Amino acid sequence: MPQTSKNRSASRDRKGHVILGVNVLTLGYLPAAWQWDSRLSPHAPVDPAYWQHIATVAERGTLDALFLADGPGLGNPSYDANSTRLEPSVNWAHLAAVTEHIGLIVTASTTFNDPFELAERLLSLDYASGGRAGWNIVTTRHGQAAGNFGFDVLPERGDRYKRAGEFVALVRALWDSAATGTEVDHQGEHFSLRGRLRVPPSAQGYPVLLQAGGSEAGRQLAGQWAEGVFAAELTKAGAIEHYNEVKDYAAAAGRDPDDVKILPGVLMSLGSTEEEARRRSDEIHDLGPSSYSVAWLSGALGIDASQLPLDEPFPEEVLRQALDPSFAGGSIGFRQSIVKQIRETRPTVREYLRQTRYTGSGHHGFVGTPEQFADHVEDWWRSGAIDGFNLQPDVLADGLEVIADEVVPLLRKRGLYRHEYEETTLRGHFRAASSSAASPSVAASTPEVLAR
Amino acid sequence: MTVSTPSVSSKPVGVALSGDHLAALLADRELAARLDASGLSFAVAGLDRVDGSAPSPGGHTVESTIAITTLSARVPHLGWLAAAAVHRDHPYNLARRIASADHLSGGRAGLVLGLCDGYTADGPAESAGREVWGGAGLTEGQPLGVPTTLDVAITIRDLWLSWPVESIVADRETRIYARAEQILHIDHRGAFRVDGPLTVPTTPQTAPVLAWYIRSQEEAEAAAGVADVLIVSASGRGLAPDSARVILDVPAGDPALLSCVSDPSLSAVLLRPEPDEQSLRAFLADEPAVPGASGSPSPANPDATLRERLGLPAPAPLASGRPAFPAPAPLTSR
Repeated sequence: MPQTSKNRSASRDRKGHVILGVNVLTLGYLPAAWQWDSRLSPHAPVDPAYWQHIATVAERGTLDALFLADGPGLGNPSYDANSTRLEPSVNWAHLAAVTEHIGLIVTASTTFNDPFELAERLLSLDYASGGRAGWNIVTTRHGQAAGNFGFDVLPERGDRYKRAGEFVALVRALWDSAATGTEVDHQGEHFSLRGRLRVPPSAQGYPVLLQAGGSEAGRQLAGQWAEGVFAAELTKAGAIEHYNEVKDYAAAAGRDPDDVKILPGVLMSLGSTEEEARRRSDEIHDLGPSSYSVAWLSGALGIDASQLPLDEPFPEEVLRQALDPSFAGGSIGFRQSIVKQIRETRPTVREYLRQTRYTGSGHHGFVGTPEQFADHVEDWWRSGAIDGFNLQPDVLADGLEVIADEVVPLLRKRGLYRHEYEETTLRGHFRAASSSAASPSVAASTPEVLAR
Repeated sequence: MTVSTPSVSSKPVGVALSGDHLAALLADRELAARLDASGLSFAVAGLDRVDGSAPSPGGHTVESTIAITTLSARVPHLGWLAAAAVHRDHPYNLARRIASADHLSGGRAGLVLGLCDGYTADGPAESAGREVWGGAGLTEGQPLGVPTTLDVAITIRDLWLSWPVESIVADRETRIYARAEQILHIDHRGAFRVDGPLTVPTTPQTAPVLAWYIRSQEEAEAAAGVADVLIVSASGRGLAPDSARVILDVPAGDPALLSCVSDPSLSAVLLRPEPDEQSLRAFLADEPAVPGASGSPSPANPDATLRERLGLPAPAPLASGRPAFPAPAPLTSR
C-alpha cells in the first residue's frame, strides 16, 4: 500500500462528532482491578448487578457501545478476577434487556465456531436488542482455548485468517437469507452448507461488523467490509497513517470511507490532578503481581521475557523476530506497535515496563485529568487520527463514572459529543457521528436488507 | 383452559415456547409482562428445535441461549431452559453460554438437550455421519445420535463443575483472588476432546439444570444416567425409567391434562401451546393460565432457583481432576 500524502479527516472545523466505546475487560484492564473499588463484590465478574451498573453509567454518558473482548479458555485467575469470562453474546443478551440505546459488541472467534450457529446467534442478539448488536471478528490467539476444542496448539495464523475470510462472507450471506427467505448454497474450502436463517430481521437489519486485527492484511480486509476497526495505536503519527490506509482501502473497494470507523483503544487512568492520576495508576499496578508485566511482554512478543536482562536495551534479534509476520507468537499488530515504540526511545527492559504504565502497551495509554483527556480526544480527532476511541479504564467501577460524568460533559461543551442519543441502533450511532451524516452517500451504503 | 384443584397447585407448571413465541415475547413487552404474571414456574425456549418437529414454512427462530438470557431478565418470575442440540454447536461453547445465562439470571437457567437441531442447515451429502461439529470445518465431526449426545451431556455437566466458586477468596491481604489449584481440568476424552476448565465458576444453583428431551428407549436409558430430569411427551410416558425424574410435555388445553398434573411421579408439567403467535396470546389471555394459580400471580418464592422450582438436588462436586493451575503464593508488599 503506497503512503498517502493527504490526511483525510484532519481539520480544525471537522464536522460530525466523536464515537466513544468502552472496552469492558471485565472489571477494568488492570489485573488488580478487583481489589481497587470497595463496592466490588468478590463475584462481580458474574454478578448481573455489576453489569447493570456498568451499562447504566455508560448510557448516562450516552456512550455509543460496550465492547467485550474474549477467548474461549480460562486464564489463571489466581491474582486476576478479569480471567473470569461470561460468554459475550449471552452477557450482552442480558444487557439488551436492561438498556435502551447503547451498542453491544460481541467478540466471537471464527476459529472456534460454526458459521451457521454463530450467524443465528448474533442475529438473535441483534433482534433481542432492537438492532444494537455488533460482531468483533477475531481468529483467537489465546493458546488456552486450543485444548477445549481438541487441539494441542492453535491452528497457524495464516490458516486462521483464510478461514476467517470465508467464515465472514458466509455469515453475511446467511444474514441476508433471514431477510430474503432464500436458501444459501455454499461450497467453499472450509465450509459447505445449504440452508437459511429464520431469525426475524432486526431494526438495523443485521449486526455491525468490526475488525480488531492490526496487521496490513487486517487493514485491507477492514477497508473492504468492516464498519468499525478497533485499532492498536501507540502514537498519533502511526494512527494517522493507519487511519488513512484503511480509508483508502475502503475507497478502493468502492465504499464511502466514512462507512468504516477507526476506533483505537486507549488505556486510561484519570485523576483530579495529573499527579493523582499517576498515583492511582501506580497503586493499581502495584496491587498486582510484578510478574504480570513480564508475562504480558512475553505474550505480546511471543518470547520468554523473563530471560531478558532487565537493565539492558532489548536485543535487536528479539525486535527483528517480533516484526516477522511468519513468527507465531502474539498479535502482529501489537508486536509492530510495541517494536516501533521501543525503537523510538531505546529503553532498557525495566524502563520499558515502567513507562508502559503511563504510555500504554500495544494500545496507547493516557494518565491525567478529565480536562487533559478531552484535549487528547480533540487533538487526535481534529488531526484525523481517529473517528473515536475505544476507552479502556484501569478500573471500570469508578473509572467509567468519571468518563460519563466529567469527560463526556467536557466533550459536549466543545461540541465534540452529542447531548442525547440521536438513534436507537448501533449502525445509527456510527452514522450519526459522520461529517456526512445527511449526505446521499449514506443511503448508498445502506445494507441491502434495509434498503428494500 | 381453566383448571383449579388444590391437589395440583404445588406442582410446577411450565410452558414450551416455539420460535414464533420467542420472537413475539422479545418484541412485545406487554406480552412478556403477561407471561411473568401468569403464575407459571418455568419456560422452555425452542423445544420445537429438538423434538423432531419439522420447521414450519413461515416460522421464526431465535437462538435459545440468547432468548432465555434476555427473557429471564424481562420475565424474572420464571425459570428458563434453553433447548439445544450439539449439532452445529460445540459442548464447550454451549456449556459456557448456559452457565453464563445461569449466573445472569441468578440461578434460573437450564439446558434441554436433544439429538439434533431441526432448524439448522444441511451439510454436504458426503458428510453424512459427521454432522456434529463437522460443519465447523475443524475436525472430522461425529454422527448425530444417542452416543454423541450422551458424550456431550457428560462433557457439559463436568465443565459446569470444573471451577468451584468456593475457590474465589478475593483476599485483599494476600492479594489472592482465587485458590486456582482448586480449579480442575476435566480432560474429557470421548466423541469430543475437551480439557476445560470453564471460564466461569459454579453458579448460584451450583450448576444449571440439565434436562434431556426423550424420544426413544435408548435415549431414556442414556439420559437417566446423566441428566437431572427427562422431558417426555404424554404419548412417550412409558419410555422413562421409574427411577428418573420426569417432566411431562402435554398440549395446552388437552383434557388429559387433569390426570397428568395430579400424577405424583411427575416432577413438573410442561404445557405446550400451538407454535403460532396467536396461540401463545390466547394461552396467556386465559385466566388463570395455570391450574391452581388463581389469585396468586407468581410462585411462592420468585427468587427460587430453577433447581428449587423443580425439586432437583445440586450435583456433587467433581470427584477428581488435574489441577488447572498451581497454588498461588501470597504476594508480599513491595
